[in-house]
Amino acid sequence: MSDSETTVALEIKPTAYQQQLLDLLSSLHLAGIQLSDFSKTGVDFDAVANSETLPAAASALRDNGFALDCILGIDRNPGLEAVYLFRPFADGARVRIRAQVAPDRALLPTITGIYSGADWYEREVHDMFGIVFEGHSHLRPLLLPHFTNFHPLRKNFHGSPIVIPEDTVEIPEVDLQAAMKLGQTDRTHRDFFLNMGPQHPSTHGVLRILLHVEGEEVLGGRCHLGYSHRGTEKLAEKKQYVQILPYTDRMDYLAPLNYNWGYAALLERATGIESTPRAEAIRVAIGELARVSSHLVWLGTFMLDLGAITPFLFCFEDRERILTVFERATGQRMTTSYIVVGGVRNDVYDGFIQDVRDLLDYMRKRLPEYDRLVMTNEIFLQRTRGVGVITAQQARDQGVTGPVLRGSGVDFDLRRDEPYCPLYQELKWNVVVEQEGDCLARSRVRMREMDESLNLIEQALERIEEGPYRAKIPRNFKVNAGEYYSATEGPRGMVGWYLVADGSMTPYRLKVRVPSFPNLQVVESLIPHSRVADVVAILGSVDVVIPEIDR
Amino acid sequence: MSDEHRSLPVMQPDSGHTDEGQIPPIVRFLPLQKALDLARANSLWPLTFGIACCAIEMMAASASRYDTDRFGAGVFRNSPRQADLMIVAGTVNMKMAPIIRRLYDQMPAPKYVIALGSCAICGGPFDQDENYAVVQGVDKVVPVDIFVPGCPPRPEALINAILELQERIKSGQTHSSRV
Repeated sequence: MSDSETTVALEIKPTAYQQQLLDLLSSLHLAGIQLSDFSKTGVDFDAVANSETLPAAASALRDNGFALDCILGIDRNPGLEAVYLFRPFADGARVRIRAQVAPDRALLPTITGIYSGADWYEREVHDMFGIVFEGHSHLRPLLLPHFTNFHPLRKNFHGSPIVIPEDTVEIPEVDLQAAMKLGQTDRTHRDFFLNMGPQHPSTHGVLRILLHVEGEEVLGGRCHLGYSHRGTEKLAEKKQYVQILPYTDRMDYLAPLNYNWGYAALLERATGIESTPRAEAIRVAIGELARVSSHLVWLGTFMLDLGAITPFLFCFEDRERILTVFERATGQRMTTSYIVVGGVRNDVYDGFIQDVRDLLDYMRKRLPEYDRLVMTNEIFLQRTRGVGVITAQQARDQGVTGPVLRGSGVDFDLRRDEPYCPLYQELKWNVVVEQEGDCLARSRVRMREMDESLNLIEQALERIEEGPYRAKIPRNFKVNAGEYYSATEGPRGMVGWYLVADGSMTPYRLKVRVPSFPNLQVVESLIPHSRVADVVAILGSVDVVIPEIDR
Repeated sequence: MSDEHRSLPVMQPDSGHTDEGQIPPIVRFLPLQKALDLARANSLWPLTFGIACCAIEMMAASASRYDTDRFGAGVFRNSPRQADLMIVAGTVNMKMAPIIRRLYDQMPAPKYVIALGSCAICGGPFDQDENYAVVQGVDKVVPVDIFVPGCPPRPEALINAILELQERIKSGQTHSSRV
């Protein structure tokens, strides 16, 4: 696959902003700088870097306000490639920088010194492709068990025997120190290591955090992922495009509809199929309902973590009412597979609009109750105010998105800033932003977002007009060779899909950039010098879904 | 991938396996045993332990609408040492499998296991060629009493499984009672 297929040099003259960026990129000694058609590929600028120019380019982009979207690997067979995606929050221009390496000498310089959020991405690429990032301080397996000796996403890898090891929990003392990035001098005589998880009630799944504590004070902590790694990205390379949809449900089970939507949006961008107006309205209504139901689970479990059981019982009852509507409309409570390419899988049932209106009336009465019950509760305020503060710069370096980012005072929402559905620009709603950046601010963002979602649903219901619910497309289809990126706003933040298509019915490579991945990574930098109880509060306020991180 | 490559199952299902650590009682007093089984069946203490999607349905089953407390199985314990029912709710991969085994070993006997959902039964949608991570069923790691199909199963299915498990405990048909 050559670049010329994927990136079309535009006939039109670049705008002033684009020209400015082009000038910036050309000053960085990068090769192959090109403007790309955003509506077709999801990327604005393309460039190729090598080991010498990469760190300088990343550094310059950071100085110009770019955040790190993600880093992914592609096996070009032969030859490996690392793709870096950058995007500023303020203005929408995505920059893609490729760096190619030979498979037998897969070395690249690390950019963790520039973007702290690159840490886990580089470890993941190292896991999956075996690219070594020179200078990375902790290049240990992230998603795979420590004993694996293969790189599953390489094309010459064809499965491996499933070995159930005797034990993966035991790590000798020396390894513990390495895992915590501790030097000899960092140890005091009263400190010890505390394992939080994988079975822990407040890690929301099978996350393991290794805490370095002294009494009640946490000196540091490292997250250990991969306890729910299922190899979805490898499976996707064996599946036809339509067959991948059910796997998207199971990545983020709290809001599967938003994941379905993201995947459908990616394929619509790649194939040029457009969904119908009726489908768009249904998508907004049901996607925002999914957002509300996801935030309700967050509220319930967060309160459970902080020691309050009542909100959990309330929230789950409300969620059951939303799930009843989902079940009637989509046939499933959770794993819906409902939003498909070109529209929705089936039309909504008669009485859907009335049911959702009743639900809105009900939720409008409940949300103020939650405000009274939780958000003004003195214990809750004490536990969350000033705890786990993320600054805007930190959020940008780590690539944090979603309510966590908006709780740090950054006004960025893909629904508005990188529209993937025309309705979001026509309807009246606000992006919720809070300035403080602590657990309380993040909670407030989510509470107010539920209000905004209800407004969106109400307006979207009026837009459900007569017409086909799905565009006429063949049951199975091919995607033209090329590379496509598409990002949508899930309840936890930016869900990005990177597709490398080779013109067949199966993807050559499908990478999912999940919001919880960087959102959890930021937790590592928040927990030093907090209390053990604060770790629980921080983790709960960030709202992570582990199978989404592990994939 | 052929079967011989799926190496090292820690445990063969239905092989009349008994727990290594469990010593058979020297004297068995049948009426007392029955009374104990009745008590155990009606106060199951599940372990708070969710792996993936099914865990949310497990939470829903324990929350207000479905309320497993009605059947005496609502006291979710955070420590395996206080629990006697493990509900394996989600996909088990090879990094997770030894931890499940360890949690199971930490639970005091008699103990029961419910495999909730397709993934815990056989790997579910992740049982595919070129799979390198997912263990094809949690019964390769711990002995399972009840399998609940579904992806994910509805909360009613879990309630049904708990009722079925209660029947089996009362009639002495669980792995734990076959010591």
